[in-house]
Amino acid sequence: MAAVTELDAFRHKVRAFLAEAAPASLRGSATTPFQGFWGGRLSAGANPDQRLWFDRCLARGWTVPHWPRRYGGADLPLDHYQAWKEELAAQGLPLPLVGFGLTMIGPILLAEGSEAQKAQHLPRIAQGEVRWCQGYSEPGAGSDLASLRTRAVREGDDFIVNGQKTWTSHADEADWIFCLVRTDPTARKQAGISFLLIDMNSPGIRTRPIELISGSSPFCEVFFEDVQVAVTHVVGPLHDGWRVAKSLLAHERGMVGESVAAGGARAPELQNYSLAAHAREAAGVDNEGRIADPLLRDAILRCEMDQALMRLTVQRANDRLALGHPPGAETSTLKLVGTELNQRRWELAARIAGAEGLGWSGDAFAERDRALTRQWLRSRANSIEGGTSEIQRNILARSVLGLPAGPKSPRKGP
Amino acid sequence: MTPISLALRPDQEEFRQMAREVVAAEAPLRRFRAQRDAGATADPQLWHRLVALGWPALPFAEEHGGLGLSMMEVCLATEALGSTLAQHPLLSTVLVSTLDPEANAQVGAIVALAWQEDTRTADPFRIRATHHQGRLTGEKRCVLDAPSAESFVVSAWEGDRVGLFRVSAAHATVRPLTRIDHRDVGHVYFDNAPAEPLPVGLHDLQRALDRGVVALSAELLGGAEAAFAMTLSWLREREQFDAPIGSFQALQHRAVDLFAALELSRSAVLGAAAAEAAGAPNASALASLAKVQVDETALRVGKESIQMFGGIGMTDEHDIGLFYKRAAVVAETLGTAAFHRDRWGRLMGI
Repeated sequence: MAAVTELDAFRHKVRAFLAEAAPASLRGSATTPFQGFWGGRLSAGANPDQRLWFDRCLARGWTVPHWPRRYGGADLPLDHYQAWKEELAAQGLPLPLVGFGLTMIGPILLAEGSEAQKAQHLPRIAQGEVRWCQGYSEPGAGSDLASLRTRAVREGDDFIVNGQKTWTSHADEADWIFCLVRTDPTARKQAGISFLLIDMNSPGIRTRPIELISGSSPFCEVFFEDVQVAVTHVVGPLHDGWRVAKSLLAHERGMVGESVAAGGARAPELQNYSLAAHAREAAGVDNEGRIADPLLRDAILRCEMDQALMRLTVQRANDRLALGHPPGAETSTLKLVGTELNQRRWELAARIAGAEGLGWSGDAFAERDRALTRQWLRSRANSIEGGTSEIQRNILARSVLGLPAGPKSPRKGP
Repeated sequence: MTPISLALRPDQEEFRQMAREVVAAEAPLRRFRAQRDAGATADPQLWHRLVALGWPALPFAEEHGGLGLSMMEVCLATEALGSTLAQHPLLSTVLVSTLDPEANAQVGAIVALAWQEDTRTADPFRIRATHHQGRLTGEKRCVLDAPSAESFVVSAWEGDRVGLFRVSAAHATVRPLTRIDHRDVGHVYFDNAPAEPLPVGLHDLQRALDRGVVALSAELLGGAEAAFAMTLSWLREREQFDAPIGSFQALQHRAVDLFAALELSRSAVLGAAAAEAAGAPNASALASLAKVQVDETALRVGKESIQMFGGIGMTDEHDIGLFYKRAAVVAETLGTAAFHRDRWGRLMGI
């Protein structure tokens, strides 16, 4: 029982710190793990309170609490890190630092990076100096990611990189990119790929933002033209990048599920949006206080009950983790279930808005309703990005249910 | 306050394993089939074995001779029993354990809860039975374990309040029902029957029904997971077009969707059992959430499984249909999914 007491003591310590250090304006502001201070060269323009919150956490190593001290962390055990996140969530506070450095390349470098790579990159992530982006997808390599063609050709101590990445979130704001590139064109698909870190300031890199059916987006195309990268920037063994990337993808899926369970990423105008409140406003209530339109109420109940089930499932996964069990099968379904639930929510929101939910621009439409329209359109991507629902099902069928691969069925995904 | 945990403690994992072993030894699926073929709806021999192991004391509080275990353990027990469709009156024990704690005085006595009259609603107010000066009159429908019960806990109006009363089976008329799932159930008729008032009311009945709903959901989850496991084996083994049918993407994706629904169902049952065990304020809402999710998932698993088995799945000889029929009956027991979805909405203010 000593461990429990110690964890409780830590929670008290965190609460005391939050009472003192968390800016009031940030309380209740966070609904997803993607909201907050991203760091990097453009961070000067960040919200001053977020910056202050970041700096106060940085002083304690709590921007990356579970990382080793020598890389800027606080050496917190995983159950303490979990408790830290729960305490923040309980007060609606954002993590002090968000982004791909914390959640993706950081863990990969900790597991696979050379000492020099760790020393170069991890402290800069912890200190919010460098912002990372992820270069995986290509125009010709979506679900079949291993068919990627961006190539890195060895020239002395360097690689010369040529090709194109796409769907790279925030590439135009990032300082570094971690990429999958083909280093051995003669090997079969997965075997010739390496995991390469590239400075986005290198000559020959160009980014172009992508406009979606919902309007502007953080997604970019990234073009590489004779970009020179030192061979020391390969993470893990040469040609072994597929394996290195694989563990990260599983991590990404868990994160997406957790985000949806918490309400999903949404526009600022929709932070406090509730289907039920919107429906009461649009359809009125019956004499028992229920949404007057019974079909609409039923659809909302189905959505909110599934949301409650998602939250319970995330809690179950975290509770198991706290007891020292590895992530179970339940975690693997979160991305699939969560993204499709998020799509249902915004589709339903658009249905409640009716004709008011069809506005693109102009003040003939309420600001909330315009935001809602774009949120609904944007949500169509949820079942595509981060691995399509179809690929998720393929993976679950093979790796969790143990169903056999068919001779003509698509190759097992990462 | 530390939040309620949804992960089983090591002692609960151990209990779960023990429960599974007991059920595998004492109540394998072939036992249910043999019972059914013999026209039996109850299995007194199995109950006798479970009584010897102390299972009837599971839902009772320690001061009433119970084991001092929580709804978590009760659910692990019913889940194990559900995985082989065992015929057992443990759900009745759960339902009456808080209403008539003395029901545990005579170990293994079967006491049934007679509360529902209109099976289209699970609102305990919607009854017409009356109690007046020690005599009870009314008709209760689809009472679990009624044919085996030695006594009943019965809800009835007394003036303008609903009370609960103990009535001996000797003063009741039971009409046993043979339903598609061959479980012990019957309509019960009371005609001026001598009745003893219990010191509990409608609120206690509602809480008892919540506990029953959670235990029943756990039982059905056990069945649905067993059916799904059978179907997965079939998908791996059955070959057509020179390949295991489980290698076909259309079937793989449907199997994954069932799996995802089962994982959510497990979260729901764990959440409801933990909330019940902790006396959490949202226990009723979580009970309704579990009932909806498990009912709908078990029916879906049943239908999809029969489809994936193909012709053999339609035969009585194959076990898969037994799980579907059980799911259909549970879906009408202690409130339908529609009832509980509406109730969840009311509790959440939607």
